[in-house]
Amino acid sequence: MSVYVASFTSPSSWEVIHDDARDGGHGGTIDPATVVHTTSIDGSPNANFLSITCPVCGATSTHPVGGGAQPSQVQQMFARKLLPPNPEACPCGNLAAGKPTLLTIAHLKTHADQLDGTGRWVVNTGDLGL
Amino acid sequence: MSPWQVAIQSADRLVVGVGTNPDYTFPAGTDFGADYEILTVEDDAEVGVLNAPTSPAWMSVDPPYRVLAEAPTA
Repeated sequence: MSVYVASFTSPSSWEVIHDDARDGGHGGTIDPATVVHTTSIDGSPNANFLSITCPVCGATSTHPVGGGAQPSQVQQMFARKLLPPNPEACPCGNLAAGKPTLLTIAHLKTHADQLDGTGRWVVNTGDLGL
Repeated sequence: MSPWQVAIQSADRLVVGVGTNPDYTFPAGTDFGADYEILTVEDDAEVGVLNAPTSPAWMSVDPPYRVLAEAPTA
C-alpha cells in the first residue's frame, strides 16, 4: 500500500515497511523525527497529513490523520508525534506541545472528523501503551 | 448523537477536542486542568457549537471551532 510504520519499536526508532516497492517490498528503521507534517500551499505545516520516507529507497508516502487503509496504525503515528518523549505542538496552532494524552487524542479526533467524518477515529490511550 | 462532549480552552472558548469515547463523551472523571473545561452538548443546534461534528459543516470547513453559547458543564 505504501511506506508505513509497522511497529513503534521505541521512542527513537520505528520499523517501517515499503510494501509496494519495485523489488517486491522492503523495510527498515527510521528516526520518528523524520516523519513530518506535509506543507500546505501557503507554506505552513498541515496538521492533517504526515509524510514518511522509506529508509531503503527514499520513496515517500503521505498519510491522512483519519488513517486511510490502516486507521489504527496511522492514527497512532499522528498521536505519537504529539506525545512524549518528544512532544510536538499540533501544526494547526490550537494544541501546544506537552498536553495530556487524552486531550491530544481528543484534538486529533477533531482533525480526523473534519477530514473523514464522524466515527473515523479508533485510537485511544490503551493503544498507545499509556 | 446527544449528549456529547467537547474540551474547550477556558480563556477563549476554543474547541480543542471532541470526546474520546465512541459516543463522543469523555471517560468519567476526565479533568484537563484549570486551562480547560469539558462542555456537555445536549443539542447541537441549541448549544451552538460552531461546526459540530454532526453537522456537515464540520467536515467542510477548517478549524478552529468555537463555542457560541454555553451549556451545562460536565
